[in-house]
Amino acid sequence: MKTIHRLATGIAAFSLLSLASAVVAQDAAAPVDPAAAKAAKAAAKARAKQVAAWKAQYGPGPYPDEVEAFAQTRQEELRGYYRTLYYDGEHNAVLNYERLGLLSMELGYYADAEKAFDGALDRIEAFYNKDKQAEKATSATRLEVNKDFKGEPYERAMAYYYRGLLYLRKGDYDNARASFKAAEYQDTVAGDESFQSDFALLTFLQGWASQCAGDGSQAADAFEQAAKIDPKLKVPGPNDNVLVLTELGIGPVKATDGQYQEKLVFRPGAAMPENGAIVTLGSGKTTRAWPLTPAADIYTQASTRGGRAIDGILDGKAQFKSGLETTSALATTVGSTFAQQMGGNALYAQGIGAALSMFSKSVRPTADTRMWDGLPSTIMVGTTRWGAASAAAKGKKAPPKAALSGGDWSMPSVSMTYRQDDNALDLAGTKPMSASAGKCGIVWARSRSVSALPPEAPGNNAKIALARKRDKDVWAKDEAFRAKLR
Amino acid sequence: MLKLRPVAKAAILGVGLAMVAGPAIAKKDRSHQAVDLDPDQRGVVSGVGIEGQDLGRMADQMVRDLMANPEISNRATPPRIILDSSDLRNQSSQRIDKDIITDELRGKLMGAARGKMRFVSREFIAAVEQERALKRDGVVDSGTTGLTRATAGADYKLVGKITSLDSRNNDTGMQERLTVISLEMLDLEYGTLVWNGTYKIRRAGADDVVYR
Repeated sequence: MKTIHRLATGIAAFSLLSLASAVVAQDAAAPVDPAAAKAAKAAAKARAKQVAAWKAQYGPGPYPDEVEAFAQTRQEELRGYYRTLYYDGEHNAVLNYERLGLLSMELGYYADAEKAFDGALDRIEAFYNKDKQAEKATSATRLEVNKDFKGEPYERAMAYYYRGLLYLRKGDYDNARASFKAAEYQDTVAGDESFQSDFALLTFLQGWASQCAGDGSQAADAFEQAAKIDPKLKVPGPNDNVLVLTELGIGPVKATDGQYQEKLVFRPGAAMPENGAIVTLGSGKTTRAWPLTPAADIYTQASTRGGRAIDGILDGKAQFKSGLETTSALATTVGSTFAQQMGGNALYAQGIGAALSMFSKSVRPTADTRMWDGLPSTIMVGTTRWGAASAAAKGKKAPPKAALSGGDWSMPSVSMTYRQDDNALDLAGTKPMSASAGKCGIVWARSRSVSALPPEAPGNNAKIALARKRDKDVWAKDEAFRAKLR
Repeated sequence: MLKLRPVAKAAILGVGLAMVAGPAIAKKDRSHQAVDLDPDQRGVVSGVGIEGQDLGRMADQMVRDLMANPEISNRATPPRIILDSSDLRNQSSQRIDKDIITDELRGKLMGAARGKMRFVSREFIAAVEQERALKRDGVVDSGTTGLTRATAGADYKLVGKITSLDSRNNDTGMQERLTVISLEMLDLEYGTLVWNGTYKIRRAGADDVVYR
């Protein structure tokens, strides 16, 4: 007993001493000026009020000051997108990364673009098994938008496509080919076999990456396969060393259909006048200009995917909701009439009807329409020879030693003319990405810039996004995501 | 009954509260921290491609195979080998930094060879040439190993390919990938292959139904 007394007294004495020394230290450091102390107190109060307001608006966070501190470390034109990426966390990470990647690529911030697409693809490739948010998306009373976004196969394929172009830009032909292969694999998801692996441009680009890597037989196989799928895609010359791609118009739009918006449908993007492009390389005597070939229709890729596994679940939810509504109506009308006829209280039947009606309202079959809105409608392609391996004059044989090599040559100046049929349009498009890091060069441009798009992706449900932040596990996952971003 | 002074009671209460609340706060903090994982074990994020744990196993197998090859590991004069990723082709559908494969292999092979093989670096030859020039210009002295007429020529070079075969069952959402890492030791004088090692990874899995 005595020991406990002594121990308790010792702890008490230690606590008091610590407290006293802390108070003394605080007193010593305290500002002497009472006005300053008052101002500090007022500032602390204002801060607490601000945090309370943010808490009401943003839930657990992250709050604007933290988001801003992160965004300030990034390029000014990209900050809006980085803010969204940081705030949304894992929920929209793939989508936000894809949108950020494309904007960065367009503006010439290639390191940002590479990291962004890698961030998206790492998540696309990982299996989300036993994922809480994915489970929620299948629950009758939760919306599909609860799941972390991974996108539809055409969106995933496009993320690989852009990553592949960035690898080509750096002269990493192996990883470019791997990206185009993985993109094509996404296209094998189509329910209808005739639409599986029908994204001919991706096969063509595998061939191009192989040709640049010096894998002649692989290149020939891929070009042959691409031409089988789309005869417009001619085999490039063996000495061609410049690939030109330009993207036209606005890509497919996701929408919902059905009684309860349970069906995900794709619609063509807003119609734009441009349907062709002429690329001009070089200037003066060495100028070369030619029309590019249409190589991919993204709306076709989106709309030929066939049914998704989740569609069956959403359809089931819709049927359940419909059944509940019918039963509710029956209980309210027929049930109360029957109860009155039997001399009972109609209020019971009406109560049951109201309860069923309320339950039916909680069933939420609406499909998720978050989408990558910056995609084009059409991709045009062309190849040529330039520099050390420049084209022979018309009618003359190409020099035999002009085969692909990383010799002394540099990319020429590039300009793009967008056309509607045979008429040139007054449309500047984006500044072309033009690079040659290895044996081959690449030119990539777009008729429509994504910089006019808002930093927030369309289709997001802010209410759901806020609600998911209150889940401790989700919050921890998002915090880990943000920690990695910082 | 145990009688304690109020101050002592408060202290015990404070300590008790700290003991209860402490782990709760620590637990909250822990959930945000990164965790250390065994590089030879499967990670928390996985797909069907080459993963961290495959690299160690692949390197172990290749090293065993190479060490068992007398033409390379049992020569009176240790052979000189270039082991980098410059001739390792990635023909698979997985984006990969090939250096991670050759670095792992070189590290393990250097450990196992114990002087039975010499490894020639061409990746950093510029650094070697710069130092040689400084020595020969008299800017720096000749070091402790003396000067040689030229840098080391190599007898062999590791070459190889990473290939893959992907398949999918659209009814079940099951995805499968066979990845083959095939490495060969190329005789840089005769052009013959003196060793071949193959490592296969066959992995299958399905994503959650909401992503199929």
